[in-house]
Amino acid sequence: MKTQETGTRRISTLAALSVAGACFGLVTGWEVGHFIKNSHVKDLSWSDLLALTLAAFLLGIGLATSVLACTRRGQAILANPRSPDYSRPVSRAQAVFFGLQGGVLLLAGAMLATPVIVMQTQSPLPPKWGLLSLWALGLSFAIQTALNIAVWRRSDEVFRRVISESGAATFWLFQGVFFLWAAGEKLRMLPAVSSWDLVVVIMALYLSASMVVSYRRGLG
Amino acid sequence: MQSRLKVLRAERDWSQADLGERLGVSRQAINAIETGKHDPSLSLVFRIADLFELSVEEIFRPDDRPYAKRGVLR
Repeated sequence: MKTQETGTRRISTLAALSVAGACFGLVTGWEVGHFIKNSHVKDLSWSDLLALTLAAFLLGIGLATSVLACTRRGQAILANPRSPDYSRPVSRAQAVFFGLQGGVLLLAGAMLATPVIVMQTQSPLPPKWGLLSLWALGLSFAIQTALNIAVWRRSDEVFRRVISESGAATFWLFQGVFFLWAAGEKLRMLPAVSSWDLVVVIMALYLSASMVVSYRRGLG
Repeated sequence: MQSRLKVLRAERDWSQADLGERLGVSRQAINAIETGKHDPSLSLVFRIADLFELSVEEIFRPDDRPYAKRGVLR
């Protein structure tokens, strides 16, 4: 029989999570505020702002997932967020799966934020900083690709379907929008967009598509 | 696709996580199948049938041939 946590223990869990969230929010808010104060946010392009917003979202979710994946109680929450069963330890394979998901999200957020932050904090950008950042991004991308493959291999058919459908939906949405924009640009009716703009749009579309698909497939 | 998975699971007093563990899939996958949001693959359908020691038709039915009331096959 499933045993759910109730009473004092549940309240203490919620209190601990609230305190941890408040501490994280305080530090994050302070750092973000510091960054905004010291940088020229008004001068940031729409794609840089969108990239930072997406990065903050990914880092927040990734950090929460990674922290929860480290403890048995956290793993129970990840396994069944609406009704965690603390009496039932999740399998090692499932715990590893949660850790991999957290790693993928953290790296995605970091990679999306890095080019914008480097350009804001190092202006004009010294060539060695650019090269160093590019190497770091290349290494992060390789690690994230390996983690993504590991997630795919450990996923069951529902998760794989969600991943596939999200990718397909993103492709069809993006190729349609991009075609129309490119045609408008060719006809000199619309401004040109950079490859960075396009990457950020793809990421935003993929995140939106994956949330919709996950919900429709019952993973929401 | 309609299924009697939820009924069969409840008869054995298994949670979605219990059933998922026995079948090697996630709790979310069981939930998705039970709520009709995911049609399971053939290999999973046969694993489910083997687990409950029933035929596939006794567990799953297409939407155009629904179960009669009280989960009895028509």
